[in-house]
Amino acid sequence: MPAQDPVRIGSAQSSKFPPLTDKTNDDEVLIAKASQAIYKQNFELSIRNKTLLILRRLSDITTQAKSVAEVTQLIADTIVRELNFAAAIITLVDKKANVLRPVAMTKSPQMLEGLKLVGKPLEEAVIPLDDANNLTIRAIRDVEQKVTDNILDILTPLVNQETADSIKRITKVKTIIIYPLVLGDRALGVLSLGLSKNVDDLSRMEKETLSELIGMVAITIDHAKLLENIQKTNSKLQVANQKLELLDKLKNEFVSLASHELRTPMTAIKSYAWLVLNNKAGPLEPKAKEYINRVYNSTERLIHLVNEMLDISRIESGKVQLKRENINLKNLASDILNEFQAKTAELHINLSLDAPDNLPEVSIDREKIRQVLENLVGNAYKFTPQDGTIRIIMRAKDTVIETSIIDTGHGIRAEDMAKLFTKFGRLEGSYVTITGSGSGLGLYICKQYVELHGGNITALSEYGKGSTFTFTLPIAQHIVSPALQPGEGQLH
Amino acid sequence: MTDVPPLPKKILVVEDDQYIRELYIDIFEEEGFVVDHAVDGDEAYQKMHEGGYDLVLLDIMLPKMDGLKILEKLKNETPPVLPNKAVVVLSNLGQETAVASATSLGARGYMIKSDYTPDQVINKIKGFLSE
Repeated sequence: MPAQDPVRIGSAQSSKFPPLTDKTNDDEVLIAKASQAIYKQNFELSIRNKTLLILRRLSDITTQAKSVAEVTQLIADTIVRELNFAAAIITLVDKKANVLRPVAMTKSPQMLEGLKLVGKPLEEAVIPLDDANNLTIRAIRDVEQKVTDNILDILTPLVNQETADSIKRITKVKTIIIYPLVLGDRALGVLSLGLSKNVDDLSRMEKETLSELIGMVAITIDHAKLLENIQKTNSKLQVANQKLELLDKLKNEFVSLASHELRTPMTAIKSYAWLVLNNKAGPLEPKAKEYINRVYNSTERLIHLVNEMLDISRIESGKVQLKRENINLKNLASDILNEFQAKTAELHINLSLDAPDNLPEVSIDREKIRQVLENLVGNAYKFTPQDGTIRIIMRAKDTVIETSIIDTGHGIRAEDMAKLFTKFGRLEGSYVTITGSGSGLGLYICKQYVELHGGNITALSEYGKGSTFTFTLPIAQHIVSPALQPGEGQLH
Repeated sequence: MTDVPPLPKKILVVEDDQYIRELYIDIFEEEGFVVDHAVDGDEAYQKMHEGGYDLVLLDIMLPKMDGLKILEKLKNETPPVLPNKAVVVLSNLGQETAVASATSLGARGYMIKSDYTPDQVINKIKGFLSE
């Protein structure tokens, strides 16, 4: 026999009863006791094993992310199967209906037969939470395990004593143990287990095992409930999201079509006004020319507004895609300077550009940045009185080109600075200007476009003295290869 | 060989809005171009299918058949004996998807009508005609 046999007690070497031949009576008693002890240990070990097995099953159930109904049914079936109970019922607190509602039951032929006598489908066999006659309700209230051999105790007020006795006969359940399922101060429900023996016949070990399991059962059910709630919320959110996406699509289509419909008559007004202004319909009286000029300018303003609203619609639906190309910002600014030169000269405004010839290129969407520059120079022009100055200064600073538009215009009040880059953030008193008004959308669009390029835009102003708008754009080589640093004077 | 004066350029204006159509016809004729026109998609398709234009100014939103559909149909056909030399979209619909579709279907340019004064339109189309 192996010397290391761990269960060697006295001369007995195994858990089997040894032959009781030439041994003393004392020996026999000793051996019988040892055997009993070993048998008991083995039995407890097997229950331990089952506990671990059930705990593992519960953990599997948890990870499978099923519905509360499925999870509770799996728990009921697992406990009944592994621990040899006759039946299990799980009932959960339904706060809305203020009842305890069965959600899972052992689906044995006897239990199904018993359910028929209750006369209701399982999930409708509810017990009011305030019915203290019912032992399951008391188990929850007292947060205490309850035991009964009268089925009426758990079925009242659904059935009478006679029916309860019939159910007991059919299901062969002798005893019912009721475990409250409680997490912290939250009562989830109860687990009722039916035994085909008396409760006293349950070993201490079995009872301990069960109470160990109950906590895990409660956690498993709670987890399933949480998951179910999350899934419900998720699907509600998905539906809401789909609706929003549809609405957004409809809004964009509407904006596109509406702007098309608006632009068509505006094109006609603008074009015919232009023809008349340019004497294509014969010479104009000065007064008539002035009036038609106002028609023309107002139409231009409307067209500009529609274009800005379209831009915003595109920005806000995330549809703006930059068509980047490497561009010398100084050339772009020169073009814009030329556009404004005639207008500024008329008012004796000195418009100048100060940028080094070796300005590194920027990788930008030409049209978008042209729009930014036009807007900023246009604003400076609108708010700068006669004999003023507008300076555009461009400098390379580290990884960006910094462009400042500095005017000697009216300036902006300190309290208005925060409104500058917001939608419809047109400032008090800025409606009446030399050339008309802005929509209040221009700077908002500028900010969006500059930021889309990875730059930023800021404003400084002293009321009555002038304003400086500054925006940055990353130097092209820093976008292509951030590792490359531009050396001083390297880019001649 | 004697010097033959160059034939005037032939332009097809596809435009359903009467005022804008007549505007373009007027200013183009004044520039000495031969101007034909179409008022809806079907008529435009027929005329473009027959071919022979130096430039087609094509609107997108049109009754009966839209401009993109016309371009798509023509792309899948055998070109006419005298193919149209260039198609430029002249529309007030600025959707990026429409611009991308028109370009991929062979349009030489995409102009937003409301952005241009009559003299600017003439300068632009002269540019397209001399390409």
